[in-house]
Amino acid sequence: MPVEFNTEMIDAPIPGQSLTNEPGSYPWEKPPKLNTVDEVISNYLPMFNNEDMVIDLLNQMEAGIPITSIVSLITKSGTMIGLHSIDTGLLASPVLVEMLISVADASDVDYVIGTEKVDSVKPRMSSIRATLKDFDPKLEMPEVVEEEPMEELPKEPMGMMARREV
Amino acid sequence: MSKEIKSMYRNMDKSLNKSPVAKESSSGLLSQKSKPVKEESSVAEYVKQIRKIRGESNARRI
Repeated sequence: MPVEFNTEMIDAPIPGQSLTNEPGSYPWEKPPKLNTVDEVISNYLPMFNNEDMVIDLLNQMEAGIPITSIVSLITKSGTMIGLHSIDTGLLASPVLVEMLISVADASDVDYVIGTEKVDSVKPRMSSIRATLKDFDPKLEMPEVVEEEPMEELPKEPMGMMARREV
Repeated sequence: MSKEIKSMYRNMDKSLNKSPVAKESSSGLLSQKSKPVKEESSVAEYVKQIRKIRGESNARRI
């Protein structure tokens, strides 16, 4: 009997495959282009002058994505393309967080920084607005029909030797 | 990495919200001019400046 073989299994990388590449073949294995925190910050700041970029960032913040997560994504992608090291990206991150807060404040967008305690998180106005967007107050609510409780049938004896009613 | 960013931001926020402590200037013979500036302190300065500008613009809008 032929056994079905899952071909997806052999598409996965072999353990240790990443070590077979030549060292320095990835951008993050090369020396970073920007070496100081000042350079990293001045590289990211023009991003906030790009209107399309700012709109995208505002949409993400309005959707409820924490600012720290957005900043993490930005700095990670910078590291991946070999722009800066992880350390300098991490050191520059508070400035990016502050810049995003400023942009959100200027645009009256509710935001979550990501450092708030879970208990203190209140529902944001934007999410409430999004939920009530399609809500029509004139819409009549369907009447709730209460189901009558089912009459309980007398239990039949289940044993093998039990007498049955004829 | 988001976790590290959170903790770093929290620590920076804490240190910036503390009341500033006046440092006494050293009367030593060694020159203080060539003292290297910590990168973290320059980031704190950036954050301070951004907060100041944001506070001003928010006050203007109100």
